[in-house]
Order: sequence, then structure tokens, then C-alpha cells
Amino acid sequence: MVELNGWGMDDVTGVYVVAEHSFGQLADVTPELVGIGRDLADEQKEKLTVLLLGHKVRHHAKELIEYGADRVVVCDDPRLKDWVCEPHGRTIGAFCRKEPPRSILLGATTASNPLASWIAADLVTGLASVCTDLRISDVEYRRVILKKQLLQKRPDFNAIYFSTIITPEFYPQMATARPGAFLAKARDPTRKGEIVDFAAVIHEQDFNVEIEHVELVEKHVDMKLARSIVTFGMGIKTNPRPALKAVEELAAEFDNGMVGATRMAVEQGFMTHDHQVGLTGTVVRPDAYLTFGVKGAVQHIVGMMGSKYVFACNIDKGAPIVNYADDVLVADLHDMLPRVLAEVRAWKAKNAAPAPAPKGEAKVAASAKG
Amino acid sequence: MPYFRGFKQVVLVKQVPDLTAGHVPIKPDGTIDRSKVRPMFNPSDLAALEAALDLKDRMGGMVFPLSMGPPDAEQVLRDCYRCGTDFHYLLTDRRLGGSDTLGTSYALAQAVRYIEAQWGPVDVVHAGIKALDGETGQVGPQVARWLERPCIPYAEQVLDIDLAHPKPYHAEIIITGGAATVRAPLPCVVIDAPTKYTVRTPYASRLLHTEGFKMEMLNIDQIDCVVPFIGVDGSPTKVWKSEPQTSAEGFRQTRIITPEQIPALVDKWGKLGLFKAGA
Repeated sequence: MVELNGWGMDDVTGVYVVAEHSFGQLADVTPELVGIGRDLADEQKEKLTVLLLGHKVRHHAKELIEYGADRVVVCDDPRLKDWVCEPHGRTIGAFCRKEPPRSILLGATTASNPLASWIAADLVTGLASVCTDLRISDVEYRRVILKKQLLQKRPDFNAIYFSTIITPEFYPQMATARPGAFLAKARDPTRKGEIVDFAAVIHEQDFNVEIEHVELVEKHVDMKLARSIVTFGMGIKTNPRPALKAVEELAAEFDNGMVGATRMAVEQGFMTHDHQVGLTGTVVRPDAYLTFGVKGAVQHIVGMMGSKYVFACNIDKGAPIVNYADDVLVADLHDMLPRVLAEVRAWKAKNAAPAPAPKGEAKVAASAKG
Repeated sequence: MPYFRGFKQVVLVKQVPDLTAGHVPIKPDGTIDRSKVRPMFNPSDLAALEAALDLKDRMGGMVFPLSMGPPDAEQVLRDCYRCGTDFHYLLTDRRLGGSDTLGTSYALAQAVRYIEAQWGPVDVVHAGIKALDGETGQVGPQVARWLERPCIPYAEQVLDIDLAHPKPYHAEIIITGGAATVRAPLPCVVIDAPTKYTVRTPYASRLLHTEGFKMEMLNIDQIDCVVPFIGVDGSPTKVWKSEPQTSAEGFRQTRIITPEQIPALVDKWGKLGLFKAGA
């Protein structure tokens, strides 16, 4: 029989962030978590602790303090070299039992989401996934005032609604944060913090999962650097060749324009993975994001919703992308792409007067695979 | 006791409201008004189903789909049956209604144990990456934790099951920035990614002969799942507020334009200074 951990509001203190890293680099989401974790800790006048687990990861500790951690708990162990739920989760669970935290934050990423779920079950507590806003406040729930609740806002029901989740009565209050939703604080090399060692707590059966060969997808382009992105989705499949060509040419007309693709389009081989926008690709916030034949799966939406301006050309007026676009052209992309491209070229010819100075070197979008 | 010596798999499937088509009716308490939406087979779980059937093709044995939900969720189990599964379990109990992932995963884990008491040890438990209506992706890893079995997240395809190997399960998985191959012992819990699995066409014979469908209904007393963290009141997480995204980040005031307005649109882009200088 499972027992509750029994921790009450007065038994817990501090905010924990679980650092994510791979191949010697911190994941982008980790400094973001430290940033929001810093704010949450300050609001309660409590400490921010970052849990750093892995093999040969100690060098990240100083970096994490510079981003805002008060304390970094380092667990450096060769047995933690691969990112596997059980040994990491067991060790984090053990540390939390030693010093129960008020809240734990992880990234809503491929690596951290299973780990966060595992830890929540291990500590018998709640977990709000893919949060886009985190605050601490007193709230009224069922006519009772609850003190110092972590308000976890997240897209729900296929990104049509936003829910605010609370975890009253259960501690720690756990959340995973959407990459790109929070801003990292600027690194402060003068910041001081504590670095503490913690020995891995691992059962023998935790080494059951063994990662063998790792194949990394090489990144030739970094979508984060684009100022404008022209993205296509599976809408192009009815006549892909000319549409792809037009997408590439259109992207090339933009200042620092790049070609983006949805996950499905990448899987179908229309574009390499480094062009993929979305939760499993790159999270982008360009000045302009133009889509052609993109339906707008939630994983894609969260990867582009930070864009300043969004245009969508889609044959289906009911597609989710429509709600996230400023301008929507309800039409077949195969007809519209050449028209838009011709119009852009005509506009540029007509307005030959010097355009605003491009920021940095304009990059031509990489060509498609195959 | 119908003890079975062959390869055994459980696949966790869920019936979800069809949110893929437009408007979602929400009740004042922030939950979906399920009486007004059509139910559907959770899309991510189709990958888990196909992964189980793929393994059954190689290893033989039996596949046990397990679902938790209202009595009507029998439909998703019938869908599984048409594709080739063997014996079906529906965990349906009012006391479970409104459970969040912690209670749900615990109940499912207990139901897996119940199935094992009937048939013998289950080799692989399959789960989809997430449910359409919750989008949390927590249940699979949590079931693994409750069962104390290795969790293999985001398996794209099984390479082989070599029972002579100490770690028979051998698959390709998705990791941050790429892919990897992984080995794990049996039994294990696998979260199947939908990237390479497409569910097979239902068998005509099973469409015609529905009498072959076998199902057992379970309640929480049978599976020893009377714990404090189930149901609406017991769940750790509560929806405090639910709001349409119109007021939220990313949701925009959309302007629908016609093809005739493309010149004006392009002019707007040009004036925003988006184009590259020069011809």
C-alpha cells in the first residue's frame, strides 16, 4: 500500500530546479527554470536550489549560480552518465526526502518530462505539465483561503483553453515548464552561491535501462537566429516539389529568412530535422512567422507562439493555427505560394529604395533534403 | 486460473473527447462537458497499440488492452479487438472519476497486477506518449514507477526481442537532439512514440465476428486500489481556473484575408522591414 508523504506547509521550504544537460551543455530550458525559480524563491524569501546530476557535470555548477541559484547540489557519478529515469529519479527522490522542498521545477522536454512524472509518483504528489506561467499567491478555492499556492498555468484541452492548476495539501508542488516560456536572467559572474555534494542513491535494479548507440542529428542551421521563418506543413504533400521550391525562394527574399517545417513534414523527408519548429524541434520567436499548409498541432504552436507576427495560409478555416495567426489566408497554398512570391518580388522591385539595414548577415535558407 | 505461459503484453488505451474538431464545451467547473463531444480513441495510444501488435507478430502470445473510464470506454477496447488483441480489461468505477495522473497511474498499475494474477507475469506494458484531453504525458512513467519496472520513454520502433540476452528488449528511442538504441530487461514499461508506428487496418474477420470480443470489467475493490489520492477530491492537482485562450499568450485577433488582398499584405510585410535589401 502506498502512503502519502505527509508533508505539510511547514515541513517544506525552498524551490528546487532539476538541471537538464546533454553532451556537456546545459539545456536551454535550464537557465529559464533558474530564472523563474529565482522569482518564486524571492517571493517567499526562500532559497533556490538546483539539483545537478550526471557524470562530469560539476563545471555547470558555477554557471547555474551565475544564473541565479543560491545552492547547487551536485551528484557526479559515472552511473548517471545516461539520462535514464530510475537512477536520476531515485537520487532526486532521496534528496527531497532529506530536505523536502516547497516546489520542484523541471523542463517540459523529451528528457525531463518522464523524469518529472516518475519523481511525482515517487514522492506521491501532483505535477502540472507544460506550464507557461508560474506564480505564488494566496488563492480562494472552495471558499477556503489557501496560503502560498503555486499557480500553474498551462494550455489544456488541445491548446484551446488555459487552466490554472493548484496543488493544495500535497507537497512538493511540482511543475514542468514549457521551453521558451520563461526568460533566463543575465549571468552575473560575481554572484556567490553554495556548491554541495550529494552521493547518488541508486538501487541495483535502476540500471536496467541501458543506452547503447547515440546518434545525434547534426544541426546545420540554427532556427533561433532567424528573423523571419517560412514554415510549411503537410499541406504541401499534394504537390510537394514546386511548393518546396517556392517556400525556399520566399524565405530567401526575407531578411535573415529561414525555412521551417512541422514534425510531420520532417518525418516525411521534406526537410531535415534542424529545420523543425516545435516542442521536439526548435522553439523560435522570430519577428515574422509565415506558415503554409500548417494545421497547428499543439506541439507546433508552443514552438512558435512567441513570434511577433504570424501569417497562416491554410485551406481549412477551422485549423488551430488560425487562432494563433494575425493574418489568415484561407486558400490552397499551391495557388497562393507563387502569388505571394511574385508579389513580394514586385514589391521589392517597386520599393527599390534602401530597405532598413539588415541585422547581421542575411542567411539563405538551407536547401531541402533529397 | 487461465495461466498463460507465452509472451504477454498490456497496452494502456484511453477514450478521449474528440477535441480535434473545433469548439470544446466547457462546464463552469473547468472540465469538458463530455455529453456534448464525440468520444474517440486517444491518437497517441494507437502507436502503443501498434507497438504491442508488432511485438505480438514477432513473439506470439497475448495482448491485453486496459482502459480506465466510463462504461462507454468499451468502444476503444472493441477498436483494439478489431486490430488483433486478445482479452480486454475495463477499469470503471465512480470513485475514480476525476482522478488526476497520480491516481490514474496507480489504478492502472494495480490493474496490471490484477491481470498478472490472472495470466502470469506481463512482459511489456505499453503506453502512449500522452492523452489528447490532458496533454500531460505523465501516466506511462508513473505506471513504471508504481510497478518498479524500467521505463523506456519514447520508443520509436522495436529492433528485436532476444530472449537469450539478459536485456531482451532492444529498441530505437528518441532522445534530446537525436536518437539512440536502448536495451532493457523484461518486464518493462515502454512509452511508444507515434513517429514510426501507424496502426494497422482492422481485420475483416474481427469486424464480422464481434462475438470473439472478451472483456472483464474491474472496480477498485477488485484491484486493491482504495487509496486516498484518487477521484476528484483525492487528486493532488485541482483546476483552480479555466479560461479560453482568447485572453492568453499566443492567441491573436485573427484577420481573414482573401487572395485579392495579397498585395496589401505584402505591402504590410515590406513596411515592417522584413525583406532582405536588394533585389
